[in-house]
This record gives sequence, C-alpha cells and structure tokens, in this order.
Amino acid sequence: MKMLSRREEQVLLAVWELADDAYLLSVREYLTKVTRKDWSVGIIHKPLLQLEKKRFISSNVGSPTAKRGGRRKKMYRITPRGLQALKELKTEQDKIWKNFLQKEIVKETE
Amino acid sequence: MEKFFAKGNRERNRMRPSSFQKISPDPSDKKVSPAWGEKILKWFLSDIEAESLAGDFEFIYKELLLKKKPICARLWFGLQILKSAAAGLSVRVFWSYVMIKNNIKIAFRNMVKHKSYSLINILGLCLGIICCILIFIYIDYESTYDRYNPQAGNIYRLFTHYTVKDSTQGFASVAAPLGPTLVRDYPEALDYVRIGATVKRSFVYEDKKFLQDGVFYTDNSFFDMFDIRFVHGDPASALEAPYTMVLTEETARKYFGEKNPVGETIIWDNSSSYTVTGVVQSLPAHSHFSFHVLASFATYIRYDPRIGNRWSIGAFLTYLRLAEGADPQKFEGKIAGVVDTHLGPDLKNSSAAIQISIQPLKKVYLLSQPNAILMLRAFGAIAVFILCIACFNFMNLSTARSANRAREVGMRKVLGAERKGLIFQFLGESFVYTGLALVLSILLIQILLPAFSRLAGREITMDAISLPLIGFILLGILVFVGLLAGSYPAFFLSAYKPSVVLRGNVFRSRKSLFRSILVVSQFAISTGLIICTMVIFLQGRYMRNKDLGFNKNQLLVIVAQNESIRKNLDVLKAELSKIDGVVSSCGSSMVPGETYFFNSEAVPEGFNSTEMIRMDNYYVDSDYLDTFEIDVIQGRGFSREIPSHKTDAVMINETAAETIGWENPVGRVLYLPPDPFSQEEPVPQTIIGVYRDIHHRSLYAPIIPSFIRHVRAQGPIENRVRRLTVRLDTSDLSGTVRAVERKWNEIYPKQPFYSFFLDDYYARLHMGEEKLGAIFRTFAVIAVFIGCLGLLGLAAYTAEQRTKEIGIRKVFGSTHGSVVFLLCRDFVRLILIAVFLAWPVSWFAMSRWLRNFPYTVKMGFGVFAGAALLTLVVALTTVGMQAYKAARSNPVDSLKYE
Repeated sequence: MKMLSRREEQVLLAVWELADDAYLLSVREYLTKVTRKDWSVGIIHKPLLQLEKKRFISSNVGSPTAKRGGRRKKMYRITPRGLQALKELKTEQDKIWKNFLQKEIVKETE
Repeated sequence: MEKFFAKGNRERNRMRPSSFQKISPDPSDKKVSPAWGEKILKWFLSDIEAESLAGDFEFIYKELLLKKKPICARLWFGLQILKSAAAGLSVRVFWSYVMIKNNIKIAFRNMVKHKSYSLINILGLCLGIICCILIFIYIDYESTYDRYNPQAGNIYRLFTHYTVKDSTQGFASVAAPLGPTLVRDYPEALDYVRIGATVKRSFVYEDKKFLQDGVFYTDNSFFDMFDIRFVHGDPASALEAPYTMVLTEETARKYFGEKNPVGETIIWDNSSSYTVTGVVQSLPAHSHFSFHVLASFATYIRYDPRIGNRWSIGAFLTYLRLAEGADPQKFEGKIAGVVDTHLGPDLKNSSAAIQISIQPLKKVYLLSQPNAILMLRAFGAIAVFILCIACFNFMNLSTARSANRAREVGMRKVLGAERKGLIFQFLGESFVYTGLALVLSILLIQILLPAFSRLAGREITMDAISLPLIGFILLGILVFVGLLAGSYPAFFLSAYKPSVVLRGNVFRSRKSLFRSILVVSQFAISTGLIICTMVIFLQGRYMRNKDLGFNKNQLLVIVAQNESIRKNLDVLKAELSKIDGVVSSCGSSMVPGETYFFNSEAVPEGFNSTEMIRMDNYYVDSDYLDTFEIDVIQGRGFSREIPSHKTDAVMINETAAETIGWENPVGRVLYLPPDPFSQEEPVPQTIIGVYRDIHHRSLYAPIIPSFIRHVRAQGPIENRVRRLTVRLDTSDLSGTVRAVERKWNEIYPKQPFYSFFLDDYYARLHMGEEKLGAIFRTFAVIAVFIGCLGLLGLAAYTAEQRTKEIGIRKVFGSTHGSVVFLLCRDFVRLILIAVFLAWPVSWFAMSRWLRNFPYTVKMGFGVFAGAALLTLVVALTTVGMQAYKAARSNPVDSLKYE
C-alpha cells in the first residue's frame, strides 16, 4: 500500500466527507471549518493532484454555473481504491497508537 | 475639506455593513476578478485546469474583497496566478525539453541510419550556403566602398553631362576653375579638391630610377577630404608650393629606404626636380581611388597657367565637401548650368550643352563601374537560386523517402501526437540539417575566402566583413533554408493517416507532381547559368579575338615621354632596326587601347561653324600606319619627306568620312584647333588620306569619327611622341626584348626602360568579362553539382523502390539497356522541360547584358543546344550510373528483397 502524507490523508478524508460536492474550494472550506486553521489554495491543490495521480480520487468536470461566471469546475470523488486506502491507514495507525493510547492517555485520564 | 473626508468615511461605512450581512458573495455577481488572470493561466495550464482554478481564485477573491482592502485582494489574486503559472510553466518546459531531446535524437538516428542521403543533403545545403554567404560578402564589399572615410556622407564628386545634338556623354571630370568657383559662390560648398591624372613619369633619385605610376596633381585639401594620415611632413601645407610632392610609405621606401625623405628632391623626366614634403599612408584597398605620388596642383598651373581659367576643357576629377545638412538635390539643381554661364561665347553659341551633376562619394565606386548595380543584383539572384536548388534537394529527398518515415508518423499519432507537434518535429529536423550545414560552411568559408577574393579580384578579408552583417546573413539563411527545406516535408509527412499507414499500405509514390516541379526548376536554373556562362565566355573570346583594324600581335610598346628621349628618337629607331627580329618602329602620342586621346571639335570645309563634329584624335609619326599594319583606303599616309605633312596634314578614319558625308575626302579641308588644349581659332588642315577604322578605344565603346595628325616638334607634350612602338617578327620574343633593352640602355643610360606588349594590354582592358565569366563558371558548376547530388539521391531511391519490378522484368528477359532506359526516361523528360524553360529566360537576360556592348557575339542556337546537351549528359550520367547498378543486380537477390 502506498503511504499517504498527513496532508493527503486530511484532504482525502475531506473528499470522502463531502461526497458529491468535493472540489477545491469546498475541500478548503471544510478543512478550515474542522481544523480552524487557514488553508491556502496551493496547500490543498497539490495533494488533490497527487491523490488523483495515485488514483485514490477521480475527477470529472462539473457543469458551468452562473455563480462562477460561467466557468466549469473540477469535481473530485473518492475511488474504491481510495476508500480501501483510508481503511487500511486507519487500521495501521490504530495498531501503532494502541499501546500509546492505553499507557499514556488512559493513564492521564484515570 | 471636512466635507470631503466625511463623505469618504460615509461611503466606506456604507460598504462595511454589507460585508457583514453576506457571508458568501452574491451568486449573481458578475466576474469581478481581472480577466487577465484566466488568460495567463490558459497559456500555461490545460483548459479545464485553468478554468476551474480561475473560478476558485475568483471566488476567494470576492470573499477577500469583502473582508479586506481591494489592494490586498488584488495582490493575493496576482500572487496565486503567478504561482500557478510558474508551476505550469516548469512542467511544460520539462516536457518540451524531453520532447525536443527526443526529436533531435530521432533526427540524428535517422541521419546516421541513412548516411548517403544525409551526406547528400548536408553537402548540398553546405555548398549552397557557402555560395550564398560568399556572394553576399562580395555584394556587401562592393557596395560599401569608401565608408572608412568619416566624412563620406558629405563628399560629392562632380560629374559632367556633355550633350551635342541628341547624344549625351557623361564623364567624371570637370574644368579646373569649377571647384574653386563653387566654393566661392555657394555657402553649402565648404571645400573642394581637384585631381589631375598624368602619365607614368620617370623618377630618378641618386642611383635609383623607376617609371612611376599612380602620379596625380592635386590640391592640399586632398588630405583632409580623404582622411589621409601623415607619417612625415605637415598636412596643412604639404602641397601648397609648386614642385612639391607627397609619397605613400611604400613608394618612399622604394626610393629612400627607411630614412625620412622630407626635403629630398626627385628628378622627374630628366627635366624638373620636385621636393618631397611628406610621406603618407596610402588609401585603404576598399577605396575607389588609389595613388602612389601626389604632386601639388600649383605645379600644374605653373606648367600651363591658362588651365586655371579655362572652362572648356574638363580634365580634372573634382570632389566637393558640402556642409552638414545641406540638401544635395537642391545644390545640384543650383549648379547644373554653372559651366554655361562661365563659358565663353564660342561654346554657348554652339549646339553643345554642359550640365553638372553630383555623385555621393559612397556611390562613386558603383557608379563608375559599368553595370555594377545590375551585376550585383544578378549575383544576389544567383545566390538565392543556388540556395533554392540546395533546399529543393532536401525537400525532394525527404518526401521521396517519406514512406520510410510513414510508420513512425503513424505510431506517433497513435500515441497521441498532434499534427502540430509532428510539423514541429519535421521542421526541427530540417533545422538540425541546416544548422549542421551552416556550421560546416562557416568553417569552410574561412578556408575558401582567400581563393574567392582571388576569383573576384578583390582584397576581401575576414576583418572587412562586419559582424552584425554576417550574423544577420547567417540567421537569415538558417531561417530561410530551415523553413523552405522543411516546410513541404513537414506538412506532407504529418498528414499521414495512422489507420492507413499502420496497416502497411504505405502510399509509395514514384511520380509526384510537386517533386517533378522541384527537379524541373533546379535544372532550369542550372541550364540557365550554363547558358549565361557560355555567352559571357563567347563574348570574352569574341572581344579577345576581334579584328581591331590593326595587327596587335608582336607589338612592343616602349614608354618614351621626355624631352631627352625624343631628341635621340631617330638614333634609337635606326639602332633598333638593326636588331634581328625587329621589323619597324614608330612614335606616337599614344597607342590604341590607351586613353590619352583627345576629343576635339572639327568643322569640315563648307560647314557652318556650329555644325562641328566631335572627333577623337591623337598624334603619330610617318611609320605609324606601316608598323601597326593599318590599311590606307584612300589617299596616302604621312611622309617624312613632305614638310607640310608635319604641320598642315590630317588623316581621317572611314567613320569620319561617312559621318561628314564625303565620297572622296582626300584634298578637302578640316578646320581643327591647332592643338587639343588651345582655345585659339581653328586652323585649316588638309585631308591627305583615309585609314581603315581601328579600335583605339576599348571594345566597350563604338568607333566614332577620328583623325590623326603628325607628331609635332614642339608645343604641349600631348601632341608629341610619348610611345615608341616596335613591330617584332621573331620566335624568340624575350631575347629580342632583351636586345631592345640593351640598345635603350646604351643610348639612354639614365632613363628607365619600361615596355609592354600591346596584346597583353588589350587583354587586360577586357579583363572584366574574363573575371565575370570565371565567377559565373564557378557558380554554374556548383549549381549543376548540387542539382546532380539531388538527382543522384532521387535516382537511387527510385531504383530501390522498383527493385522488384526490375527483378521481374529481368526474369522475363529484359535487357540491361531497357532497364536503364526505363529508369532514365522520367528524368530525361523532366530535364528537357527544364531546358525549354531555361532557354527563353536566359536568352532574354543575356541579350539585355549584351546590349551594353557595341560589338557583340551572335547568340546562336549552338549555345542553347550546347548548354542543354551538357545538362542532359551530366544528369544522365548521374541517373544512368544508379540505373545501371540497379539493372545489373541479380534478379534472385532483388526478388528476395524486403
């Protein structure tokens, strides 16, 4: 399985979350909302291209809307391969984090 | 003030709340971001990428507009566009680099794979480019004479147009007082210089004696006008006083070695002594004028004081320097008639008119060469033609061999190559070939330039060529050849349909109209050049061999032009006649071919004094006609025994008798000036005979009415003996010349002996045609060679294409001959068409050229047929060799082929 960078992971999750409405700006908006940080366009755009190249997401061209001055937009959708990658990633990470969770975080809360 | 601020604040406040009301921008808003953003993105990114990015940017931009100041939004927007564009650009550059690298690699692989074709292509292009560059260098050299002179733009040469009745003669010399008068009367004219040519002079300094050529009388302003640098002496006053002179460095070294000669004296012609007042650097070779010795004009005036005020004789080259910014055309208009106003009533009443015009110094060289500008244009055309022939080779070979590339094209298209990309690929390939040829030709030009300057008779060196010019020419050639040679293959090859090509159904054309047109034009140009070369050669030979009216062979001319020689001339003649091989000798003021004749006005008996005829004339002695073997048609020649022949007699040529209209001119009277320079009343002179027309001018000029008179015993040197001509009849020419020289040295121990053969002199006079012929021959050979290179490639290709057909034909009993015929037939047809095209064009061009000569060779059918035959034979040999090779191949091998 291919490794995902942290940022790619976040963007991929956002695309999954947004389902039918994932494009550059909505992803940015979503991530800004969730992380409460400013995300520049470039920092989203590049992972999107990478993910597309790794075939974790697919793109198609949306219909032009008046809102965007008649311009079309590039819409993204997560592929089964991408979904699979997310699942595997989560399992992997859980394994690594397991002991840490038990020993450090649980201890603290006790 | 207050109000203004308040209003501004109010407006800002009015805007603010609205931004709070709307979290997201109004969907109905029109595009607010600068439109250039999207345009720029579209240059660097794919369409959809650019469009969606632009949409996104605009959205954020609008948000920013609401939150922050417009300037911030704009800055942000600009930055985004810049970043995206840079990213897109770097990707594009990377991939186009990959693509170009690949294309060049493919070009080189193809080149190496088909070595012979590549060699033909590059060699042809290289030859064409070399010719082209050399010709352009020559044209540049010829048209930039005298540019070294910083004042060249303001200097003009005076030119005379002399009109009698309807015929106008033009010459570059004017009367002596004209220059000073113009400078005095017209404020535009700042300075003048007069240059008077003179014959070769015998110079004696101590034990050194030379017959010095390149001697001129001139004003002191010469040095300033022509930017002359002094080595010794004072430029301001070197040529002020009479009997002073200035030498060039080389000339000074000849007489004085390395010492400073200022103050030394040199004896001229055994009579007068001149003081050296300066040594100067000679003019650059790239100048229309050259000299070895300059003597002061004051000396000339001392010789003949009348010259300073004489308006009727124009014998001096005169240059004027006009003020910066003066309008030369206006000035020319003002001075056109100036001579008429100063001339005495004699000429004014006559039918002759004199007009003065001016020629800019920068153009003087071209204007003084006959047809120079036309010739340069012709050379330019030849350069382009030869380059075209080379380009056509490239086009022909690459399209003919296109079948071999078809699969590559198909493959590329399947893999997504666009037609545009393929066109660029093939154009790029032609640029690779052109570039290689260009580099090769630049190297070769360094080697060939000296040989070329010898061929052209000019001192062209690498230094003389301006760098921007050569860069411009090279770039021009690269673009011209690259585009011309590459265009057709590029469009032709890129049009293949992959579905057709990859099925193996390659369109293999043997005949293509376009290719045929190219071959026809190549050989039409070649044949045309061959015809031109032949006509030029024939005209040259015609002029060399033309009957001049006298026998020019074995005539030795000795320069004998000073008083002490003249005194003992009879002794010398008597002594010479004793030498074995000397038939006779005679003295004259000039020999035919030289230009020391005069053109005087003669009024025939019974004519009105305004109906004069201008006649060439010079002076001869009583042995002249016999020695030169000139026939006397009517009357008799001059006789030693009859004293009146020496003063009152004249002989005219046939043309003169015809022009005057006298059936029997002997005994009639011509009224002639007593001597060529005199302004005195004409004196009656009796015609004692008519001699056959001779060409005393070069063959570039028609024979005009002329007369000869007996040399005088005194008076100006122009009408006295200056040449001693010896008729030899011997098989040992050099031995006889040595014997003549020995006799000369016995009689004149102090005089330099200088002699030449008249036939050599005539040959040199008509050297121009030889040179031109040589240049044309070289280029014609190259044109034919390049054309044949292409033909060789085409023939080889055709033979290869038809290998199977030939094999089958041979199996069925075809002979070698019939196979060769089969392969040659198409080419012969093309070349015949080319020949028929070349004939009328070259006939037209050459008859225009021949119109410059009064005596021309007839362009017979032989020339045209000969050129056609030559082209055909050369082309057939080329094709035939390939055809024979194909015909001889064993059918077993050729049927196994593929």
